[in-house]
Amino acid sequence: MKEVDIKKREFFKAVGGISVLSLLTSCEADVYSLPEKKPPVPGAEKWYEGEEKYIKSVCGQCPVNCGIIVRVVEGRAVKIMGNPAASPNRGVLGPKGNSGIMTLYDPDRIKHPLKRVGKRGEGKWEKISWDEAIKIVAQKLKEKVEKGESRKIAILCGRPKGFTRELFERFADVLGTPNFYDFFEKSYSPRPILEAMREAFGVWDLPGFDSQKTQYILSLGSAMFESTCHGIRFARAVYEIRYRYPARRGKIVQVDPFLSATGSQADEWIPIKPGKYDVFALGIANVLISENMYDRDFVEKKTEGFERFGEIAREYTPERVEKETGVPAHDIVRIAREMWNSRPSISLVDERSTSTTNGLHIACLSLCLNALLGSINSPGGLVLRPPIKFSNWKDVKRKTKERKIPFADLPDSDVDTFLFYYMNPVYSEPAGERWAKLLEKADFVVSFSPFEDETSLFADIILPDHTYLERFEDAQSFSSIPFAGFGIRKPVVYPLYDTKNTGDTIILIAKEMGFEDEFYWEDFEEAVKERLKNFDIDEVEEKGWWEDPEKKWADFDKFRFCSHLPPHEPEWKGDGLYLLPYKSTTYGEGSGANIPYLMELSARIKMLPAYMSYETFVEISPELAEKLKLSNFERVYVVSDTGKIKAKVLIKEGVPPDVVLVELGRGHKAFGRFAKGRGANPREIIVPLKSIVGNLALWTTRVKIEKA
Amino acid sequence: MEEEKKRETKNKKEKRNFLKLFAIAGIFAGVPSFVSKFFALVSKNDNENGEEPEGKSGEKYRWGMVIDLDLCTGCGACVIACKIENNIPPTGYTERDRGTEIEWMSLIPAGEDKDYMIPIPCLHCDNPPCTKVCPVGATYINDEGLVVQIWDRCIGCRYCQVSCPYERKFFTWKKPEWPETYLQWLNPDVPTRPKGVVEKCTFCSHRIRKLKERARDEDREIEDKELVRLPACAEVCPTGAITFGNLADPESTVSQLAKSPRAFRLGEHLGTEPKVIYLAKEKRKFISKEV
Repeated sequence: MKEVDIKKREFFKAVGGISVLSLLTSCEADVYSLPEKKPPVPGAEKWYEGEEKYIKSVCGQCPVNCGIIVRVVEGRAVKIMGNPAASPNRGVLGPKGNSGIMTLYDPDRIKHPLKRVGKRGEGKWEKISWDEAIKIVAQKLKEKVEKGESRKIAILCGRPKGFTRELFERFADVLGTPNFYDFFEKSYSPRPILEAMREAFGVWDLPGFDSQKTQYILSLGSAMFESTCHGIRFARAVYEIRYRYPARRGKIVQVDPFLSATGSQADEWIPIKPGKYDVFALGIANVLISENMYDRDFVEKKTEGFERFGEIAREYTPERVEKETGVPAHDIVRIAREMWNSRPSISLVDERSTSTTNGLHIACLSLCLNALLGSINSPGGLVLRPPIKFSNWKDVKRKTKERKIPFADLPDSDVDTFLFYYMNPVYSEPAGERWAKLLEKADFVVSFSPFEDETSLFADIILPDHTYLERFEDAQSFSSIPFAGFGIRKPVVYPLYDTKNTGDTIILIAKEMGFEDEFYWEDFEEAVKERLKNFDIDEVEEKGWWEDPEKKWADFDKFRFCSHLPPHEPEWKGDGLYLLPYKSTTYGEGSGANIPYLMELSARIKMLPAYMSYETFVEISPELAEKLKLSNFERVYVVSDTGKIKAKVLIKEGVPPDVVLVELGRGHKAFGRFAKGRGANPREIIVPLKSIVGNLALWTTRVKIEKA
Repeated sequence: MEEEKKRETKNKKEKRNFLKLFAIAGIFAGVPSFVSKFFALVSKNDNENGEEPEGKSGEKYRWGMVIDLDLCTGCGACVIACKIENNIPPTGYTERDRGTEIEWMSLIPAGEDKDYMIPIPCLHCDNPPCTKVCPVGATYINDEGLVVQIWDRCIGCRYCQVSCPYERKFFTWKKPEWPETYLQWLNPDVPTRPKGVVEKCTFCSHRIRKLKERARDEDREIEDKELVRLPACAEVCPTGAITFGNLADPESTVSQLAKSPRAFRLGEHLGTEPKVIYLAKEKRKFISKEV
């Protein structure tokens, strides 16, 4: 029987070969330039020739976690497509998600555990085994705990949600350290929005948006078509906004200091002074209230503090707002009326608009506008999401009652042991050299990064993680889907190198330290499956995504109009031009800089040739260029109070004369061949200033431009 | 009666299929192209009974694309998806890489102030300037309306690249250089191109071919909904701005969209008759004449 099978197969192969040959000739192909020999594929013995699979998983290129379908040919991931069943993206995929296979096949991945042999930051390593590496880490941490210095351990896990994050938090609790930091502690995170949500509703979650029914979006500087967490959902909402009703076309209004990519695709762009969104929002509120255009029913029944809010808003007449923000009074009146007349309308903020020191006020006032318009828990409005009903792990006792050291103050503290996962503060925090100095004199540093990034250079031990296409975990979306949902991320290829799922690594370390009772699972997969007991895991895996079948919204008691008004003046250090670093459309804040396609696209979007994508440009207005006698591509220094960076001039329409723009993401000192040593990092010259919520703000610095 | 008719059409179909086979065999054997053209003509005559939808050239398929600029947000997902699907190498990062970028689908500046980007693949013109200048017949318009490029036949003279008013043809200045690990994700359906030829967008013809084969195996016609998101760029577009389909079928989504009052084509005054149709409301007057 077997023989027959083989013969059959060979026959088919032969036939296939002939047909391929004829196809190739008939479709104008070029056979001889195909690479002669492909590199070996791990797990090749488990695949048969010509096998083609479509495996459902969840993207991990950014926290949005879109559902994906990966085409796997003979054990190689070849193409990533969107999964129509997944609620964040419904079958489509942005540029970052598309380039995910390049994260997997990055030539400069860390291939096995490493131990530092040179000085910190030098990047000299020695290969060690997993057992040895885990023993070293466990021993070091145990020493700390036994000495009673567990509060000197800091665990940085830069992920917003998910069980891996919770496992890290549990580990921190078990170790007895209060210093656990997650995604929301970063400098460019939506923390102000979270705080505003807590202020207004008492929930610790980002708002959901029923964006498929919205008819009017007032985007207060939200980079919704560029880099924000809402990105893919609002891109999908454009169709609904513009074509849902044939006679009535919805509208997207972008209020932004400069003409961003979002502004250029919106229906209207309204220039405003940087960081003045809160005053602008109050101006809108003023018109809404004075012209009696607010949802009385909602305000009376479901809110509190409206009286006081009304009093404050009364002072911000359109004329006064015009003086403070630079937006013409008649535009404010017009937008307020349009918003009321084309309900359901929403006001939107994101991490870019709240990146000044007064971010919390901006986020709060944006929520207040939504409340006035009655766009809260209503179709087409802002929606509160119910938590997903996961079952819990066995409880652990938190050993410490100390308060944690604020993340922004960490570089000045005496913390000397660090665990880094998905965090690269040396690169991605303003004034990262403070972190470099801290890590140089640290006692023990562990990194879980699959790439040799700036922070990993300072590590004593690197325990490389799988990339997201090789590991099993849950995937809870960070985007603004208006109902509960999550996906399961599973390996689509066999691990390329000797790496390990960090969940497994943490369990192994904890067990080695003797915490078998708290970390009682065989591996991380078991731990995840325990949490998912309430769900049919096979079904979720098959569909790739689970969503609440009833699509329910969470209820809330009362909406509180924010108490800490009137608006707050954003703080700026130095004098001269406002430096506004912004996240690139294509590769975020720098975490995609190891992907050449994303880098090139970022230049192409600026209408530059692709090879220029590896340089940093400072975008200035034509007026400023004339004043300073600068021309395109001229080399200049951008100088702040704390330092200077080299950049090339790019003259751009739509930039106000008192603003300079620098794209984030370049200027890596490590992170592989495509990222290392290309361009400059504007965070190096940002004066670290804490915002009201405690993060380091990004838009704080005023700079000068000097000819190089 | 009816049975007879059926038999008749069946016979005709068989005859045509046979002729087509013959034609393909002709190409395969390297018979000069006029022979195959002759056969194509014969089979076309066979078509005139009106049993097949009437396209411009009387063929069954006339591939076209509609790009809605009111939906496009300029994110560039189509550019990346295209590069990965079609094994297009990264450009490089030095001055000497100037002008060597290859982007079958790319974003070009448009509008009054050149302040927003529009996606542009090869427009697959009905009256393509590029095919007329090729000295070796490496580029031609095939019977499904695709402007194709035979990399094997191309001698790299770059005439076609110069003649394309939309700059949609790309010369491979260097041998594609991938880090070894990148070789693993290369798409097995699309060959890589050697140094020194001109390459261009194929409307993902390998996907069209696969779909046709599947439909043939299942003994059915290709449905419109299978085509709408067929090419890699249309498949990923986050806003669904890119639509693909058969312009020869008046009922298809693209044909319907192409009738929209917002529809226009790039560089209409050039007379190239592109089969990529753009939709836009206010942007139209700024874009249609430039390039």
